[in-house]
Amino acid sequence: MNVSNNKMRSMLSEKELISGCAKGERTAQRTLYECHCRRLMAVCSRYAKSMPEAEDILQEGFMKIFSGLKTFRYESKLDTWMTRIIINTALNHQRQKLYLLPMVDVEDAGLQADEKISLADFHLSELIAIVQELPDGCRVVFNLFAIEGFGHKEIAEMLGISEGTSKSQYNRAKSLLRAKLETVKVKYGKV
Amino acid sequence: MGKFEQGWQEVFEGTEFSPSDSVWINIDRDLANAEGEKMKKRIVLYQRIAAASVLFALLIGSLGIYRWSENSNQVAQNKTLENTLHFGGDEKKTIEKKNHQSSLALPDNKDELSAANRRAKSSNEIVSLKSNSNLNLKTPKINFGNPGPTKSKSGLNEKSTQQSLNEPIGFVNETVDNRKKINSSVEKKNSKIVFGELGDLELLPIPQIHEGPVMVEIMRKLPAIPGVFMTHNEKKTAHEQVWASITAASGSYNPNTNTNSYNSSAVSQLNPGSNSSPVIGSSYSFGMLAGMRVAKRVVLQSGIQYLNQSINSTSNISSLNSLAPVASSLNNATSNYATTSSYAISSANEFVSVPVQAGYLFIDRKMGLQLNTGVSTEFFIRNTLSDPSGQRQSYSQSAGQDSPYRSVNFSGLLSSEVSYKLTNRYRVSVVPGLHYSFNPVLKSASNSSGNPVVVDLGFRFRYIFR
Repeated sequence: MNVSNNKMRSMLSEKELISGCAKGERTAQRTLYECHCRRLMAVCSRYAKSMPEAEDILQEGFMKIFSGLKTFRYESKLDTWMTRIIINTALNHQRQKLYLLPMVDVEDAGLQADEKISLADFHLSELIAIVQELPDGCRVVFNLFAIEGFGHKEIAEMLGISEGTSKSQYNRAKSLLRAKLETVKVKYGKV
Repeated sequence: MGKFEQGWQEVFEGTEFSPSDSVWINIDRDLANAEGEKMKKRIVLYQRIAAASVLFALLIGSLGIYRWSENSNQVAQNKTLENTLHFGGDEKKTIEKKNHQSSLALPDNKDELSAANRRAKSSNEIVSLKSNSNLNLKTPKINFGNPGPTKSKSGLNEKSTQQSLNEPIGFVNETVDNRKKINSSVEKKNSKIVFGELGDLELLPIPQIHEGPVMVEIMRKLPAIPGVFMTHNEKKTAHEQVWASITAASGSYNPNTNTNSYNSSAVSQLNPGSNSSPVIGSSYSFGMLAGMRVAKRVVLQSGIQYLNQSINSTSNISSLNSLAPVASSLNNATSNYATTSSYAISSANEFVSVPVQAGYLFIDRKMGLQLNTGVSTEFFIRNTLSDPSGQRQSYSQSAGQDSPYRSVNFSGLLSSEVSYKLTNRYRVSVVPGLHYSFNPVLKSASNSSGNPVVVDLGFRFRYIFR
């Protein structure tokens, strides 16, 4: 009961927050930003090539969130809605480069499925840096497939590429990540 | 989903990174800019709505003035006709009206003088009496009995000018050749000053009692223009160099004469009017203007316009089917024409006007304020006499050697132009103006009788070439 009451209280405050942001109240906008900026910054850092670029995506994303709150209909959770806006903003940043994605045959990737990789040995910042080093197309497809959980068909529609390209790009991302993780492991003696 | 993907999902689930403070600062700045843009758009919209409302209200007001002046003409004309019908015929017949006649004998002592003054003030009979159109009284003569100021110690000498200034005055009739007369007399011997009989004049509105144009000093206090209407652009505002505009105006037309109707015994002042007092007619004009900037704040404008000045009057010249005899009476003022009971006629003068104006720009921004002055050359087209009742056929006279109307007239122009720039190419203006003719429209009319004046309100729509 206490949990449901707290949940209800938080829902009410969230509604008030949304209402205040829709009216343009700076206090409400600041509060919403403070509540979600760290989580969304993590999302941006996965899609961006660098942290400054991630901050640009975050800034642009929040402007779209504040203007979109006026028409928010509570059809989905606020967190999910905001994350989707940030991802779309990140994709818009990368969209011009994505049409240049080369076609890579799946066979050439040379990967083995279900290979065990232990990521616990790595610091979060190292993992972020490894992801940021991926080529733009590979990075986007990797994030959408592996982290966000989209299928290759959905990714192909979102990015305007073919499903095969999406798969190829993902496989390439996997091999590159593995290779990089091996390198870092050996380099810093994380064996 | 394989273990590879699961591993990465577990790693990134719930992860958070703190962005730098500059992110919120930039977001705050962008939000403020967005709000400012919205407010600016709203203000521009309100400005446009306000400008359109003002223009619409002025248009309605101008139409109202035009209609009102027409109605005033009709009312005065009806009164004239009534009086003419009631009192016509007997020149010696005295007009008797209630509360119009009062006469005072000058008091012989101080107390009576004071009482007389009080009565005079209360009855409001101290007015400058305007003779009716049939009296040969161009200049009212004030006869105090014994001319020449003389002062007495008691101050009771009615012959003194000093006293006369505080006392009601009357007018002396010199010619009795009328239907209505002001019944006043001055006994030279006793210096008795009586009040004139005001007759119809008391019934007329106060402005019509005054003789001649009334100069009214209009103190124009320009409203403060709120800063929001001043567009403070960082970039320089482009000044208009060359433009063309279409213009339309309407207003009142005052022939400014001792009025006469079209009478068989018409005197030299032949501009149409009522029998008893000046009547205000109406005027409208439309045309095209072109302008150019010659200095930073000086512009020149010229163009071509059609000008129509009309006024209602009466005539007693017998005319069965056409108003031609009435028109010809202007040429032959001394000829005798058969007379009949007065009837209403309408007289309209048409001109082609070529104005040349110089303007000074007091304000040259989105809102503009310009003072224009200049002259116009008016080429007479024709005069049309028409019978409002439709019983008599209209008659037109154009300019020419045999025409009683001047072919060319010159007028002085003075106007202020309040404008608003809609876009880079279009500007709309409201132009209240004054148009003073240097000559009467009739050849035979003398300059001393007064010159026609038009006061109008105009609208201009300007297209800016560059």
